[in-house]
Amino acid sequence: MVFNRGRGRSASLEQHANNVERILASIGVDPAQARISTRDGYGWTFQHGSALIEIYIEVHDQREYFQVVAPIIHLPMNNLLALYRRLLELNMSLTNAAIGVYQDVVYIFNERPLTGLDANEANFIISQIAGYADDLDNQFVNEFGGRLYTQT
Amino acid sequence: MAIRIVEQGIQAVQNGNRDEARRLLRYALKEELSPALRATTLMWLAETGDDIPFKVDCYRQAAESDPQNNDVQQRLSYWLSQQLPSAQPPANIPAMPPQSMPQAAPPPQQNTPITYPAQGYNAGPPSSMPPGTLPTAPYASQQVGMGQGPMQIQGQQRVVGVLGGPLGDGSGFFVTREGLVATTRAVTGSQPRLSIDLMSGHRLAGEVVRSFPQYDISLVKVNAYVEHLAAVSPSPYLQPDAPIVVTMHGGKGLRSQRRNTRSATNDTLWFPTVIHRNELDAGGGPVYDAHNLLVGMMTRNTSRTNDYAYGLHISQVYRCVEQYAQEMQQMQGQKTIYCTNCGAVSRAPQFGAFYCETCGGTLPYAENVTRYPLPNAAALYQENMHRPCTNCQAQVGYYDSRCLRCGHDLTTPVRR
Ligand SMILES: [Zn+2]
Repeated sequence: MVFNRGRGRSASLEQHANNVERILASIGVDPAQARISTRDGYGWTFQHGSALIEIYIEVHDQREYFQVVAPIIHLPMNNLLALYRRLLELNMSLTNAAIGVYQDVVYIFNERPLTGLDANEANFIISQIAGYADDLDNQFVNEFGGRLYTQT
Repeated sequence: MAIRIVEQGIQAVQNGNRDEARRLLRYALKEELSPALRATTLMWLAETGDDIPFKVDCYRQAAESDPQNNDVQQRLSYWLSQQLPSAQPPANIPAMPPQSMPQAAPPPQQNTPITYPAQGYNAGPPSSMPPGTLPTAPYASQQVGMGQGPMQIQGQQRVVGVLGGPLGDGSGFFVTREGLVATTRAVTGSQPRLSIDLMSGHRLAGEVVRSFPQYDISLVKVNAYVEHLAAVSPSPYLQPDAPIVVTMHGGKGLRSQRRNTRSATNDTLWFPTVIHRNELDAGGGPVYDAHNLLVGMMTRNTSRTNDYAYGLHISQVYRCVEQYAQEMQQMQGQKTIYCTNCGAVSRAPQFGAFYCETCGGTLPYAENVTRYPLPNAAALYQENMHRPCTNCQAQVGYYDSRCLRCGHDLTTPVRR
């Protein structure tokens, strides 16, 4: 998972970042505009439909991973037991995606090894995560309260 | 929301504010209500007046709305009988309308006191059930539903069948005279209703009222009064190699013995046997000792290293029965529902809430309705009684000194 994992910038990682930017460009995202500075890795963020998508390259056990992360809601102040249970139940039923909580934000994400990733597949993963985020964010807020991540 | 208005109306009846109650309930009846909720609302409306024709009219409308509701039918026929000059109430209808108020949307729970078996656990109060009021004609395997008066069961039921669960047919046995059957949670799964087969072939509708998944116990209520409960062994242990008989649905008995293990001879929960899992039905059969005393309940749990099944000590079964009875007493007069997810009895209906306070699961009646945040339910979920988190101000509580909402560790200062 993207959070709290050791990060290291290396020559090969830079190579992979170039690959990701090429893939993003090929699916209509301007990499220069999307680029964000992370502490010691690479990241991009852009809007896909109504969902906010973040992309990271992470290294784990000497293997690079392509991560697609969509923050969806800030947790409500109440109803947490029911909401946490619902998140776990949904986690069982989502395909090719996982739900997680980091600090007070609920995320939907996918990660896969970067090796062999092509533009088609990257596009599919991003659309799928964005689709889930779109379906679920309002649903959670309406039922449990809290606040959409994209809402200030 | 119509259901909120109904609940406010019910609250007003309970507070003795009949005029306000009548206004609210009539207002709610103008909204679109499900047939069951409409019937419930009308039953409560009937409580807002003493005028017999008014009550009859309410129950008539309720019966039209929900013809399956036995409670409505009983009340209707009672009040109809009161309308006739010098009428005698039918024998199986209480002389007064039932003390317990009709419940709102969720199905009513049975809050009857519990009577314990003769030996070992004889601390219970005497039976509070009315004397036999129903004909004892054979029921010939018909389903006997709730609300028809309890079926009198005279002969001893060594075992009953528990049918319709996810693992197939299992077994169980009566643990109270008021028709409470113990079986395993594996047998009932998350089902709210099953069929209970008596040794005579009579089939009763069973309602699961409480489960204890941590002990693999489920308690199923049938509308019956049981004359003879199996005598219970007073010993909390079972000696190694002690002979046992497991009785299963259909009357099949399995002679075996307690497995002689060096460990766990003082385990008051589980005892090992030399019975293989494939010799058993879905589980829940009573285990008797050489003196024909009830010593436990058979389960399909095994250790990780072999296929020998474990039994659960009868004392643990009765501890759970006791706990259930206490919970029912504590919640008397409150609206409760059995949570099929975790087996607990939830007070969510009392708050008009949607989720079980024990597991957070969505309760059956809330599954197909629009759910929304209910600030008043914070007390039910105990989310308003902790000191505010220094990072996010939530009062939902802490685990391992970390806020359940934002994960902030109380022992570290807030980074701003
Ligand atoms: Zn529950």
